[in-house]
Amino acid sequence: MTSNENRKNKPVSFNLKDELDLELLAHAEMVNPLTGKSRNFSKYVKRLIEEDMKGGDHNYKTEGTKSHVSTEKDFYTIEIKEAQGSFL
Amino acid sequence: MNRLVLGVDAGNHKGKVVGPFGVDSFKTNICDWFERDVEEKFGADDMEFEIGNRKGFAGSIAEHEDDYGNGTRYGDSKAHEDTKIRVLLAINRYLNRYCPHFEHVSIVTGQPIKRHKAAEKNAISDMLEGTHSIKVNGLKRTITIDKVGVAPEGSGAFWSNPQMGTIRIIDIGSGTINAATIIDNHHINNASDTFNFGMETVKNKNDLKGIARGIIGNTTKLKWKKDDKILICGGTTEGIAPYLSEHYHNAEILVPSMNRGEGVSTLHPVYANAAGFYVLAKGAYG
Repeated sequence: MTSNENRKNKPVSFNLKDELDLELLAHAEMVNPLTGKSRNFSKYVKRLIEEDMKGGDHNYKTEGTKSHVSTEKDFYTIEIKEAQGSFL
Repeated sequence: MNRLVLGVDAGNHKGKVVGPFGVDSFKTNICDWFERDVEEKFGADDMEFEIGNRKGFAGSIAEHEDDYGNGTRYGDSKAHEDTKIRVLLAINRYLNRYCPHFEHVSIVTGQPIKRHKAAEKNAISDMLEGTHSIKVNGLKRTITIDKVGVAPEGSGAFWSNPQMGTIRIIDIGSGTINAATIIDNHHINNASDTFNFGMETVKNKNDLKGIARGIIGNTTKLKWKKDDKILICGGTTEGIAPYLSEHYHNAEILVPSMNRGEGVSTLHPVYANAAGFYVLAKGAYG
């Protein structure tokens, strides 16, 4: 049996009548389609705190890999700007 | 002078904004101003606004009025003016949240594919460009919108995660569904369309299978093929994707992907249009 002696729990309260709280709760409990399990809430909150300490932005999920666009300067070529112009 | 570049998706149900500092979303219901019961409380996303000669409420309180009110909500005839209010509220929220010192903004916003025509685009740009004095929840602010680009909804979402080849996009909105075809980074108009139903207009919004059937029927008329590469975006993407995949075997969820510092960041598919508009705005005005 695991002991909670060396742990400190901090509960998070969600108001089930508040739309924003409900949205946050649903997001926090989102099911991972690969595992079929919902997010580990403790781990998730701790990761958010860690990102905050590093000055990260919580709206984005950073994956740390290179994108299809290596840098913005590389991305906005004359061809891309011409193609994008046809959308506006 | 600080100038901000934003992608603004001012939907009928929710507004979504993507910019250099992060994202924002809010309920876009709007209703006329009325005397409030003092016992009532403002919700977190409630906004009391004065924009031009319009005074009203936006957010949850306006949604409540839509459902139970006395019919004071605005009709279709003011659709353009509602768009202006939604866009200005969206910019105001973004500034308050991330960068209150900005006054000058350039944006790309959207228009359903079917109505993405020069006259309508110009009407939207003319309405939005210029200096606006607004008052929201008692606070006055001046916003100058220098440039406005208008992109086709669904199609514009392509730029949130661009890829070569033939790409079909199904953008599921609250009032309309946009079906876009992009070949090698170019929008193909004759294989794209807007369908006049959405998640908030169908009889039973829980009947995702039925809605998927409607989308498949309409896209087949556009000569989309079963093995085409399909990307799905919008608020109910995860729920409807399995039903669309039954017919379109190569259907995937469109996950907006953005460069952020040293890595790549992903956003929920509900932000696909706003993120695509932001990429277009950076290219045009950044």
